[in-house]
Amino acid sequence: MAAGSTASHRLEGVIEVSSLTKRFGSLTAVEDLSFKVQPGRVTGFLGPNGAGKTTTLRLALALIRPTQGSVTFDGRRYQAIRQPAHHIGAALEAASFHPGRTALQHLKMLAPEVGVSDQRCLEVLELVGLTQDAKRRVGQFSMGMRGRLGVAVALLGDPGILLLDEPTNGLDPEGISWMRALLRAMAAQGRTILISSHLLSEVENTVDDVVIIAKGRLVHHSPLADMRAMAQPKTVVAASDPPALATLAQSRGWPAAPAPDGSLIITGPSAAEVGAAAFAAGLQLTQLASQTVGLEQIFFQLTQGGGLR
Amino acid sequence: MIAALKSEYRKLFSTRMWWVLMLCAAGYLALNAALMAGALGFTENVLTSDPELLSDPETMAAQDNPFAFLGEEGGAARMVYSMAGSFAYVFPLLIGALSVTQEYRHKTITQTFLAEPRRQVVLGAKLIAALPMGLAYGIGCLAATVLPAAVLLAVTGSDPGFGAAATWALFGRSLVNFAIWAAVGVGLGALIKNQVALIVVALAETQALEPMLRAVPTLINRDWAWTKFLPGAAGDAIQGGSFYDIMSFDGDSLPGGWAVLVLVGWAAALAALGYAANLRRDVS
Repeated sequence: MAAGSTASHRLEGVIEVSSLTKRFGSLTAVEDLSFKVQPGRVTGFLGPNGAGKTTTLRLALALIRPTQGSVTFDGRRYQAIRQPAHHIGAALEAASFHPGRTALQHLKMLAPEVGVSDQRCLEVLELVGLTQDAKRRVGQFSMGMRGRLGVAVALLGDPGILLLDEPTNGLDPEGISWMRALLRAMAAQGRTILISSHLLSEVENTVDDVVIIAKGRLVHHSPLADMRAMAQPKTVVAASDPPALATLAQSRGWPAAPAPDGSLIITGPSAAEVGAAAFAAGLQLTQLASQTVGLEQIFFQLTQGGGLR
Repeated sequence: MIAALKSEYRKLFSTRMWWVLMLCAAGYLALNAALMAGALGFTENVLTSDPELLSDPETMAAQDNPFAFLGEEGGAARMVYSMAGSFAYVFPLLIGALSVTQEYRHKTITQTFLAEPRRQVVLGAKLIAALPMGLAYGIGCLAATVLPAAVLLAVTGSDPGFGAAATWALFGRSLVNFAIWAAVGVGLGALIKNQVALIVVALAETQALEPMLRAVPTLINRDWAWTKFLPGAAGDAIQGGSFYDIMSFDGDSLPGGWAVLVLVGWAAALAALGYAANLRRDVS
């Protein structure tokens, strides 16, 4: 069992979700969801609240049973793996503790089943910065400390795959940057990291890849860089001679939409390009402003529109 | 399984519940045992001081006279000592049941199932871990009953019964009873995972429902035999006689070996039902 950590690193660490469907009565929480998560990268599993993220993670961890489809880790389902916590560590949003147990007692209670020594419990407490609070009752812990203890539980078996549900919830800014550093370091060691969040902005500096779901369905899956490229520049422009401006946009082949105040919203060129073109055409501009769509807005469009693939 | 057992023990001893419950049981028993020892010791004194009363065939020798035990050596003492099992089996029942319901209540069941996804192994570990825990409760409960009772019996001039082999046999059988009751508790907790509902059901069953049911055949038809298969009746039969014998006058009880099987059967049946109804289900 001591070899567990090295063994897990030799595993590839690919998570594969295939045709996953989960219905609770008439409610479909996850529908025909398929995607792959690669090792050595941090993948953000994103979607609004109620999109099915937590359900997907619970399905992956065999806490609930799929209606159809499967989630496998290097081809094996969670329940088929002996001492799974050596390979897959998980911290779910609802990670809960008995308020009367100390942080150390909580870890020690899990240690035999996970298959690690009591010494390892102290190590993970150190890793998440709770050494000082090891002997305090969890009932006295703040949200952020509970979050850290949840991560400590996930790390107990030194797993090659880490699934964290909303890991930044309840963390202060210092905690968020600590979490970022930890996850980046673990990905750099070749581990597979999947973190869920309902806010892209909270994880955009942490993740390499994004998997976005809405209403239980996959709406986008790509490296974050590709998603950034989707953020096309937009420019709001108005001229003293509006018809001449519209003609100019048309002649350049720029898609333009009239705004209620009489200005035009042009998609594609930057504000500088639009300004230069107007100058060349001898148009007097009364307004020129860049209105580039942020990543968050694209995320919003994707999850609201149900998919712009 | 060994690992799962070790985890179970750490769960049990890392909260205050086990000793709070033990303390409740001990206080409850010590008080009742002292009162009963005083009363029985006094009664026995009166009876034995008048040899004619004990030898009168119409009073003491009648076969189903529930007070016949007073004529035996250490009989009064054993009757008091049997209160530990008859009155306090709800405590090992609760400690077993809470080992399941606490995990659902505080949602630690999620982390338990993540570490050991074979849920039947988790349930099996809880059932097995309950046996020594029930035994420990038995030792505590017997001590809380026997110590004050023996003192009071000695004070009232009655025999505390330590010289009789039957007394030591009662202690042994009582411990077996306690151990199995803790496993019955695990089964009940698996079936009723809501902690409040569980406590209500456990108290209602052990304190009201079962004593009433066991009195029914006495009142209506003495030939009805089914009440001896009730868990409390089986537990008393394991002990070999109980305090309820003089209260409910219930008919014949199971032989000790069969009684063990019946009570283990209750534990297994409840655990199987609980597994089907709750443990194998989705955890949300």
